[in-house]
Amino acid sequence: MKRPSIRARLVLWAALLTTSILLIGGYLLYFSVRSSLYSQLDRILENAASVVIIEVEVKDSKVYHEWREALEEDPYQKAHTLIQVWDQKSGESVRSPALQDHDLPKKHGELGERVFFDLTLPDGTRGRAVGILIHPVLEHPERDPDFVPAKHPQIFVWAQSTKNLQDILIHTRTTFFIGGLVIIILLWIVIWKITSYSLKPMEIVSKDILARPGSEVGKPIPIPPTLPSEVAGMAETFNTLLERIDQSRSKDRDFFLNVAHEIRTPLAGLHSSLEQALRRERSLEDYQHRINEALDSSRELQLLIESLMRFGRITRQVDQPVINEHRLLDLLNVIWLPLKTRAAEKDLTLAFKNIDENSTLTTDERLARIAISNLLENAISYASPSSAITITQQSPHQVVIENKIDEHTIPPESLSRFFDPFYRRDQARSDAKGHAGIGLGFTKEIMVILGGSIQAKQSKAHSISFILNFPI
Amino acid sequence: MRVLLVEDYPLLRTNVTECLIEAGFAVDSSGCGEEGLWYALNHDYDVILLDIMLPKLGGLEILKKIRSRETPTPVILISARDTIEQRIEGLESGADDYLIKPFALEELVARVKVQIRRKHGSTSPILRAGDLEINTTLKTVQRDRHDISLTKREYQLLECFMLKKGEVLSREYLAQHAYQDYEGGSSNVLDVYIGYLRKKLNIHGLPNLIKTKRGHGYFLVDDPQP
Repeated sequence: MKRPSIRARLVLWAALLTTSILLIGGYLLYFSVRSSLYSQLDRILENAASVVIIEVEVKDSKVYHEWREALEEDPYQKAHTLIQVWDQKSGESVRSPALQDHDLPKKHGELGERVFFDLTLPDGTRGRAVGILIHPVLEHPERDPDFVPAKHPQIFVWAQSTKNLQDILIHTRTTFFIGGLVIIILLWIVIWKITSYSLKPMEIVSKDILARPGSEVGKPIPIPPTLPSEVAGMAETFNTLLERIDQSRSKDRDFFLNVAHEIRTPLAGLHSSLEQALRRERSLEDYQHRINEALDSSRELQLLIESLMRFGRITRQVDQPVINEHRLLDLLNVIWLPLKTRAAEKDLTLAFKNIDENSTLTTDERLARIAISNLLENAISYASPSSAITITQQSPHQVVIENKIDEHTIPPESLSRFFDPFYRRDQARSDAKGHAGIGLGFTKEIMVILGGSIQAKQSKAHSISFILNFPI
Repeated sequence: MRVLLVEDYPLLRTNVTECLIEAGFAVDSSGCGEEGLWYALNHDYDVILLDIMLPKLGGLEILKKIRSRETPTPVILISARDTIEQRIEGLESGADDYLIKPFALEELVARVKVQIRRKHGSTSPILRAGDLEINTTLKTVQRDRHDISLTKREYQLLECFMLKKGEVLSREYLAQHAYQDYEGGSSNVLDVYIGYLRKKLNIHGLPNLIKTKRGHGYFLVDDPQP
């Protein structure tokens, strides 16, 4: 599967953004230049027209075009100046020689108003023109007292080629296009290089991780101070993950080491018993005594292996829970029955709080029995003699088992590790008090399977509580 | 030779103790870390056998406390913890040897003997003093190439003398290191056994090897003058 590339995304989006900015900027700049050039041209046309329109005069009660004389005197102007004037009254028009018999568009505004427009000149090129509605200038009113200029409106149009201006605009467009293209390409290259440089530490970290030998896989990756904060953040997150994996692996490793230790010690006892039995000739009673010792050790091993098998089944979730509502008192009495004898040996009693005939617990009966039974067995083993084990239903979904202990305080780190398989506060096997060391671990796994949780707490001195939270 | 065994698994402790006694060692044993430390610090042992996972005080802590007192007694750790790291940790804590459970009792006895020989500066199982030679493996004794038959107690006494030849050994030291059932006190049983041993060693009119230093104890001469 092809994965999206940060570098490609950065380059693409940065390039698109810069291209858009350049295009819009270039477009605005070009039209600003174009508009400025046209304004300039319009001003030139306007100024020129303003000078020439006063040369449409009245002489001898006739409209006289003096500007034509001026053209005749300047051959260049004669060949290039494009002027046409229409007499609105007579409908006749006068053209400059350069127009020959071509007409200019007859456009104008209100009297005196300058109207600028684009047009195609007789030679086919583009041009710009100004159209003005004027009244002829009455130079000597006393000579033509009856002539009313307002009755002889003239339409004056002066056109000019815009070839030069178009050339300038084409040149500007070309410059903008090439310049923009060069800038875009340069920007792409720069952005590519910057992203490559920025992403380099990520590649270095990746290579470093891949190059690690198997024995160092779980070790945190080094985060030098020069590593960018974004990559350092990711590396720290990765290290946190590694740490969690390492903790989990360490837990698994400890579990197997503990299993090995738990098996080896009774095995060593069994081995030594048999070896001693065979060391020399012995009496029948001595042989029987030693074989019985060996049998005791093998039973201990069997108990451990059965416990491990059950633990394996529970953790693999082979047994799926069947949730039903059960009468709590009945459930607890069934659990307590086989434990009564052991409890009596230590003069321990069982007390219920907030539990009556109507109390119920919604759970898987079989799994809950194992979980609570393990906790009660644990309580019997570690409770102070001649004390009470109390079971309280705090809420329909919470059951608390509390017992007295000889110790004043249990360190919090020990409380949190109670549910680790084979965990013993005292390292020795003799602390096991006949347990395989995985009963509480079982209970925790069962509560997880049931969707609940378990917690060990010491709310007061010389006491310990196990809080079972069943799912609501 | 006196050995201390600190092991909390009762069956193993009983069997190892029995095996060591049968092999001719005097053994003190304990199933508790604190008690084991008390024994180690208050008695003179030739070898200490120490389990690592012990109640009240772990084996490695006991070992560190012993070494912090500069007690040179060889210590063999016996444990089910078998990873390289754990063995290294044990040896670096000051142990002289590391034995992984389950082990053969014969091997344990052999390792104990090796540590005792090393402690007394010998690498061979054969100990010599002048024309006297004992084989600590076969438990045989020869003087001037003649076999001498000794009882178990006599042999244990002689081995003590041979390992500390030339040194004056008190009656208490000899009793503690040679006899499992020594209870202390003023019993003259030891003197009786030394008398038996002298008689058996002085074959064919050869000079007496075990001398008395009045008020101090006994010592074995390395090169007896006729």
